Amino acid sequence: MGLVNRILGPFLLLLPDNNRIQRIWKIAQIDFKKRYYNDSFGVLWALINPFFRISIYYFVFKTIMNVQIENYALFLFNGIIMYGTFGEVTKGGMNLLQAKGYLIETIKFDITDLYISHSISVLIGFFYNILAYLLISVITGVALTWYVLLLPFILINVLMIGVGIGFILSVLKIYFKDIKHIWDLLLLAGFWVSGIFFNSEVLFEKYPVFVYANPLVGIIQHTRNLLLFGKGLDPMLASINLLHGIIFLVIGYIIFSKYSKKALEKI
Amino acid sequence: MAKKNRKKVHKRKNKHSTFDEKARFRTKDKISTQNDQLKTKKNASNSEKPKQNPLKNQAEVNSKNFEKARRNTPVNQQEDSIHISEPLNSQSQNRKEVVLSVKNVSKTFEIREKRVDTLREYVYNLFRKDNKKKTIQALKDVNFEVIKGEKFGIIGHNGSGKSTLLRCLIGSLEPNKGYEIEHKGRIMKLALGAGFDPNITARENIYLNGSILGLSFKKIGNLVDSILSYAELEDFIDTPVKFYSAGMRSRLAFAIAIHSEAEIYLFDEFFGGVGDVGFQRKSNQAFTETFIDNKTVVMVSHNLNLIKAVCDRAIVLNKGEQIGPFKSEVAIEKYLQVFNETSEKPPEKKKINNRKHSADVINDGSSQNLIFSTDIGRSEYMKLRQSLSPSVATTQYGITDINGIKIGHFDINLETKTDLCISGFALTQELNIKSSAHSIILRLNEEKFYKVNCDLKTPYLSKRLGINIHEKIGFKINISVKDLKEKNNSIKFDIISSDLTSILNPLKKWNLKYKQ
Repeated sequence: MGLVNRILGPFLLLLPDNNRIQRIWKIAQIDFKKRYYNDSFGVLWALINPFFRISIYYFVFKTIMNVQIENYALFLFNGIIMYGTFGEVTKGGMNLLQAKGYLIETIKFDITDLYISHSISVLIGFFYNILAYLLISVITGVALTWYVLLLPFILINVLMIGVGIGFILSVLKIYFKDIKHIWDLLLLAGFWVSGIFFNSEVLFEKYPVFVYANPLVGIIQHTRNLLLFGKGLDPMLASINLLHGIIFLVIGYIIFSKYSKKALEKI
Repeated sequence: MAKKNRKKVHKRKNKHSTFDEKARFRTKDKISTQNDQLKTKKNASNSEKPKQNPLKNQAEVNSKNFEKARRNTPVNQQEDSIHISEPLNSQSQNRKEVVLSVKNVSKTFEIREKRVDTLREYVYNLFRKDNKKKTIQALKDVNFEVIKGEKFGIIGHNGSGKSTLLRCLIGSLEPNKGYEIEHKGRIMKLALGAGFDPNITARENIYLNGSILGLSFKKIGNLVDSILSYAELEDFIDTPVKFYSAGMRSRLAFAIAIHSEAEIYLFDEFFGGVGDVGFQRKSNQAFTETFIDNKTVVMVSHNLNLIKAVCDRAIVLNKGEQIGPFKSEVAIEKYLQVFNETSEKPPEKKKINNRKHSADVINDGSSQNLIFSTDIGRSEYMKLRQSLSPSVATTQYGITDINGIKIGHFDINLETKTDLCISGFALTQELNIKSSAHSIILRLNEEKFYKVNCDLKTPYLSKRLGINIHEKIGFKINISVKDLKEKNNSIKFDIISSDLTSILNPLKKWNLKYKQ
């Protein structure tokens, strides 16, 4: 944990003396810590992991399969970390009510804090990934543009969708345990159709409706635009994605606030 | 807070200008107007005493405890002090700040005969007719109000809805529609083995719990050391909580609770023989000292002694139905009545009655120790527990290991003419102990003598002592005895009166003599 504290400790000082923010931060920190084995070297894994993955992609797709798309390893990694973030937010959110049951049972507080905390802990993971990505893209000579600064917008968009779905899933999970497997399947399907392995501009020309219906296609496309192609956002697609985010978040929150108490009975 | 107080004072001004002065000193809002004069004086001296960290107090606690109990007694004693329902007290009601109000809380659970908790089963269940819905009414229209600083008890059998009620209060269960639960300040529930993430260290758990309870990191940072030393866990700061024993966890929970700024505490069977004697003593001190004064406590316990000692009022839950609230002693009586009605009488009761021996113990001021010898064999012991119930009920017992010496302790609640409680027996001889994870069975070795140190403790005495000091104060113990002539198998009760720290405190040296 030493490393995380050293890297993120300074942020702590920036936090206002607001109890709610501190609480959210603490839960996020513990969440992240638990995922990476609780020690300095464990956090190192968070950095080693993305490097290793990019190397593998490079080796398999560039050297063995000889894919012609430029910077294919980075291209792939781009989509995968964004989709991974989405997956983690939804999967983690799904388990939150059960995983944090011990707190809900003991102290009265706003349960939605847990979801915010979880998103933050996922963001910390994303931070490591993007760090590795940027390092490699500098090494391999990919020019970075100021468009990178728009990345937080995409991230917020992903989190909105993810948390909204997480709200719904966490309630469903208590009623139906096997929703976990179903969601795994859906995530897997999404992995192959959201334009992670191919340039979704093809998809966009052929089936624009599909691109608008599946916000992840746009999000992954945008991530690539910002990080790899040095392009900006497509205003039409971006606003539709944002609309997706708002709809998911609102519907998720309504379902959550209506049924979470009832669901908690069953824990 | 200051604003609130001012407001209240203002309100009172309109009704009773005489209350203005007193309001400043008010810590407990529960006495009637008759008692006000007395109370104000006492609280004046109270409020001058600076609030201290419970840790710092420890040295002083022993002596203070004594005083404290005496100080509190008139409050506990006032017969007519806290009957909210009585219209007589409407004046004093205005002065009470209701911290927790519970209205129309009912809870029904829907249960199917066969579990349906996967999507597959759900679909399957649509086509199945044999899986009937059952509704279980866990709570039926529960209403009560808890005043700031009050200790409120909830008693009832297993499955009578006590824990459901607490879950409703903490918000992890939502009662049926039409309910109203209002509370001021943060609520924390203390139950055995709950509230901690097992995979993180004690320090992290303190931060986690503390921040949820409304403490800033700065404050927690200042408190961590004193929390850990209070819980006696300094050596295990960075050990994941999963390696803690149940006792250590509850110690940690209590230490956090006592340092945190929660205002309402829900105790769900929290004081149940966990934690060694030393820590129990400590937590009891906390109850008699600073902790108890300003904090509101809702306590669920099967330990009637504890309820009687700590709680001002209590309700009885009988299959989800509320009886009360009454003063705690009355509530216990009601509970025991309900218990009599619902429990079937054991068939061996007749046999025991045949062998019943009653001993009047009279305080005649002549002898130092009450020594009455009786045979309580292994089997008799269990029967004793049964036959003593409910008028004399053993409510709690446990075993602690201190430096290799095993100490068994159990509480006996005696119903006497004078509300006398005897609690905190300690069996200090060798015991045959059979213990499983959650229950401990005491088996007395028939061959040996047991010295039972009995702490006589009661807060209820002082007033009656004032009245009855010249009279003989007696109490009656009914004990089923196998054979009185075998005096080798005997139990001696040494009654020690001073320097005892427990929830109840002895106020007088008792000189008791056994009379046959």
